[in-house]
Amino acid sequence: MRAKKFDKANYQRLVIVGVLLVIMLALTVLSDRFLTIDNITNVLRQQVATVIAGCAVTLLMVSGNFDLSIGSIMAIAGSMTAIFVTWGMPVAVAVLIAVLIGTVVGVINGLLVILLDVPSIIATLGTMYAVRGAAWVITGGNSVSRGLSRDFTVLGRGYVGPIPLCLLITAIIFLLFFFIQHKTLLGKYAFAIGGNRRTALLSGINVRRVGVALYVLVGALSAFAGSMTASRLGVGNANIGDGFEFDVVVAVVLGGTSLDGGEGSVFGMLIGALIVGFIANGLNLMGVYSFYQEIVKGVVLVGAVLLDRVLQRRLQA
Amino acid sequence: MHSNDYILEMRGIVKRYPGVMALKGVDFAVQRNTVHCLVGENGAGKSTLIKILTGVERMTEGSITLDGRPYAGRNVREAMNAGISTVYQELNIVNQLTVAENLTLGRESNRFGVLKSNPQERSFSMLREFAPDVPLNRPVSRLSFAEKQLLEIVKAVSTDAKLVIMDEPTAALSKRESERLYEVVRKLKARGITVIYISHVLDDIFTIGDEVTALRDGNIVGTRAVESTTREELVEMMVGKVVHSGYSTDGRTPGDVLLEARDLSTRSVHALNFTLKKGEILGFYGLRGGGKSETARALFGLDRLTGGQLLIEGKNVKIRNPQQAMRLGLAMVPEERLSEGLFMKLSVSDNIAVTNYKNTSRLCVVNEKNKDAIAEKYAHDLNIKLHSIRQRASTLSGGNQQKVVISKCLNARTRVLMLDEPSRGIDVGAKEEIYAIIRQLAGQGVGILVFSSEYEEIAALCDRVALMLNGEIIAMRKNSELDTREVHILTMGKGDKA
Amino acid sequence: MKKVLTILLTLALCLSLFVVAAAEEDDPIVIGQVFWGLHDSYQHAHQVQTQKYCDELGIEYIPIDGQMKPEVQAAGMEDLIARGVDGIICQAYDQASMELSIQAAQDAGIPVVSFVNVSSGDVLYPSVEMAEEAGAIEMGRIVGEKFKENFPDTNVKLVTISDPSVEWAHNQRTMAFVRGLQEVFPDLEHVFNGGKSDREIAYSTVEDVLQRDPEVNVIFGYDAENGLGAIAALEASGRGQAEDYVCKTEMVVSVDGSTDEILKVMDPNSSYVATLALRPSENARACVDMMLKVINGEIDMYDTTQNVKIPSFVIDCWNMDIASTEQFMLEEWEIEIDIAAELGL
Repeated sequence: MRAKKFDKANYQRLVIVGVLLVIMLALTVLSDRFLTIDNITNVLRQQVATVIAGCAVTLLMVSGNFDLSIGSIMAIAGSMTAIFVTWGMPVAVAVLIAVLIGTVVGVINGLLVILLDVPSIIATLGTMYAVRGAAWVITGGNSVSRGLSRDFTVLGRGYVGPIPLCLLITAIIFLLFFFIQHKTLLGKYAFAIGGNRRTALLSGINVRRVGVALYVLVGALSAFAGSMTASRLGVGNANIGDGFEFDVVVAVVLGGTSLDGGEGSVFGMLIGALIVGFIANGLNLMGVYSFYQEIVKGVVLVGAVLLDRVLQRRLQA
Repeated sequence: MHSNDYILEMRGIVKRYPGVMALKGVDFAVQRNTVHCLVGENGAGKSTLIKILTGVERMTEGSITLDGRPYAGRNVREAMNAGISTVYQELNIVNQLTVAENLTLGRESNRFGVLKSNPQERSFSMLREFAPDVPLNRPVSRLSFAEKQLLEIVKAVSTDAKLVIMDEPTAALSKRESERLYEVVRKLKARGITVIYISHVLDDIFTIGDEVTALRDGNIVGTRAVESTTREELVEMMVGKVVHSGYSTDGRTPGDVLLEARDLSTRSVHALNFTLKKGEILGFYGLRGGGKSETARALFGLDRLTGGQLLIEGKNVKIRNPQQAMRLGLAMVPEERLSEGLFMKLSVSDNIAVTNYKNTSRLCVVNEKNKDAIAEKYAHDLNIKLHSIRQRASTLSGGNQQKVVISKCLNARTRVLMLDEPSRGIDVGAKEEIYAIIRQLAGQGVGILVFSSEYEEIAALCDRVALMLNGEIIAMRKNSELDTREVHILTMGKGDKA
Repeated sequence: MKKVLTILLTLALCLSLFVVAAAEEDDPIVIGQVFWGLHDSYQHAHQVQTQKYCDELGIEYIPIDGQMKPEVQAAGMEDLIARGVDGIICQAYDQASMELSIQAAQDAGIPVVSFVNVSSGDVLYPSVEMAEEAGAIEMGRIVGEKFKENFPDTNVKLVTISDPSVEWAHNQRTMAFVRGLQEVFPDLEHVFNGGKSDREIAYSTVEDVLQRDPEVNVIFGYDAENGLGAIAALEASGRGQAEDYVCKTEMVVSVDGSTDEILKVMDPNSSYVATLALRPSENARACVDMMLKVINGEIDMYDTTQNVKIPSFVIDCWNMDIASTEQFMLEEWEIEIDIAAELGL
């Protein structure tokens, strides 16, 4: 039974949780304002979009694919949600349609990558530009703020009792994907395809269908993250989500997902997102100048992955 | 005899590849619930026959009856549905998944895509029976090769397979692991499953085989009951009457000792002792897994030495990586020409120049003219057939590709040239040409090591031959002392390894 | 072992939570500032000046980079609110979104002073404005008059490198400059507007415009990046030249007053003729002063009637000499520079 405890996946989880705790401990010592309920809630809220999109992106990357268009999907979905609300549509319907738009982009990505065999980086780089452009066209480059009903900000800033609504929703989505990863065919197949595509094919898995499904999920969730961000900001703005794809990839990779696929977990991604969030927040609180913050971010990213590598090699030796 | 006694009957199977006839009208029948061994040298047609059976390749002519019904074998899926499962040498396992996940991969019990918790799969109980010490929740990456193979066998069998094909399953197994595998094969038989067992290892055949069929040059030589045959008969069926064709010293007289191995050991070879003289062609012959390729890897710095010494021209050298090996004048023509030996997307001249850019460049700037001139010279010397030196390597024929690889090695000012399976995948005419080149190089004083599992090749080329089994040199023979039957019986092994 | 370690760490964290909650003591005034984006020479100078002024006053100062992204700005505001600062200075990238954050701060009892942006009416807060509009109009007028002398009998063909999605800058800088120029040239041809706030984009945009319309003779960049990108493109095509401040083919104008722009303006051989110089020191001090007034209760945190306007300053090659320009640079940007030496005069 001892052997089971040290399974690679569990082990990786331990390392990343350890890194998070060390960082939190360090920040607590360095800034007396860090460890307060308000501040922790803030960080969680700031990472909501990353975690929501990251859930689906984790599975996509586990299956060995990549999506660069998520920031753009976020922008178009956020802008469209705002526009629909200014037309008088109920917020829930507006969000739903925005998510559908994200789904459509996901389908396009899936078709390009899985069915037409365009390398995923190139295909989604293409949709990244095209969708961002579409968002600018739709908003005319301006932010959509006039004529938004009060309800618009509920999704991003509302509360259920003492708990921010956006955290509640994110928790539900996270649990759903935790379930998908561990308990459904989609999750298993993502790992199988990423681990050994040939074997997956020979085992009778419909590799293409799984691939497209994952892109669709990524599209839908990125769009939802976009609606939520727009709601939090109180405007629809085509500039949001610029560089978001990298924030998500950083969280996913910190969480132990291999860039070659086959390994990873949404739990790890969550911890990765928190690490990124806490570092940025802690450094802000300490008044560290933004240029230095970037350096710290880079060092932590590479450092955490390196630490994982080194410890893993020790374990195997 | 009722045809019902046969689970599989293949009749008049012909497979034509462009320019080659791999199977020349094969009749092959397998009795129900037996272990039927299939033997034959490389290129005899075994794998082609299996590929046709498993739907990987289509036959050109012929018909197949499986379990009394006609069977077309159009694709892998159809073969699986018909109850044919294959355990390939190259295992089909997802390393990142657990044992249980691999066993059920593609056939998970689920409701609307949600996995049922703790399913009691038939494959799980089978695994418990076959490999009680492999826990279901262990990641496959932490299993040994033998355990992975067991896993794959269980996976193959648990799909209601009637016919299980095993492709050289003991090639990568230790003696003890092989014993376990025999046990598994017996259990399969007890379950009423028929096994087609492909192997070079005579021990395997005499331990578990019921019948054995030998293939040679795309023809069936014969089928025997294992009880009523002998090792000698089997070897003769496989290799036929070998004529020592083409061997000649061309007036070569080997010179001083160039390379000497003293008790050279790595994880997979043990205490190798041999010498190579200038202008000598030394062969290494044995089955796959016997230690030939491993010897080459050790010499070329790809595997770490665990003991012993290597001397080049009497000087003790340490080779830790291929760069060092090449600096010392060693060069290797790898077996996997396409993936290891050539940059398929680069031009012929780029390929040749890559091993020695020093003589074609100045201050890191490549002199194109100079480079092409060197490539032209080799193309002429080695008679490489091409329309331009700038042509992509991928557009050449196999034989000419091999010549490019050899040119590459020569360009590196090689003193010792190692060739791993030098004529694999090359047609007969080109083969002779390659042999001529090798002899010519030896005549120029290059020491040559040939690693081959083709007996004819060894016999035609080598001045001396080291016979390998289980990572050891079990005998050293001069060309004139070579006896086909003895060589085969020796290298197919008693399997003395514990 | 690992488990024990994990538990210990968690315990330590929880403990410190209580310690922190208990240790609320009197400390100096803390002011946070969320910048538009610190990768910009003006913004950087503004940050440096604020830091310096706060140090003088014994105020703790926390600058945060908005990175020209509304979501980053919102996160920065949240961090400062959680930090419990005494006041926040901010400059919005997206005003509507920033106003939500301002409201959140005010709800938490933290006053906000806005730099540049003026309350739109939904959310009320005091502002320090840059009175750029008047300066831009004046600069347009000056350039128009000099253009007439420089290129008699020629109509203005104007290109503006300006991002209309940044509304305040486009209106108060670009369009104000155009209005000033129109006072002299009512029939001027405004042949192109476009660009972001990026030197490379400005460069390639101007390159393309020159291909299409070589007759262009006034180019306006709405910040340092765009002006410098434009002059670089002109120089690359053999233009952008002057002789003793008399331009050969066109006049280049921009807004910001950074060192590089000023060196160009003072260069008698360059057709870069004017820049509307922002005043980082003046602006930084005005923001902090107003913040302190709000914190001390002299101005109500919802008061929009006492906004301060800091006029911008036109530096052109005709009315300013090298000495007075050096003086300005030292005072506002804290940059000591020997313009004559830099230009090799």
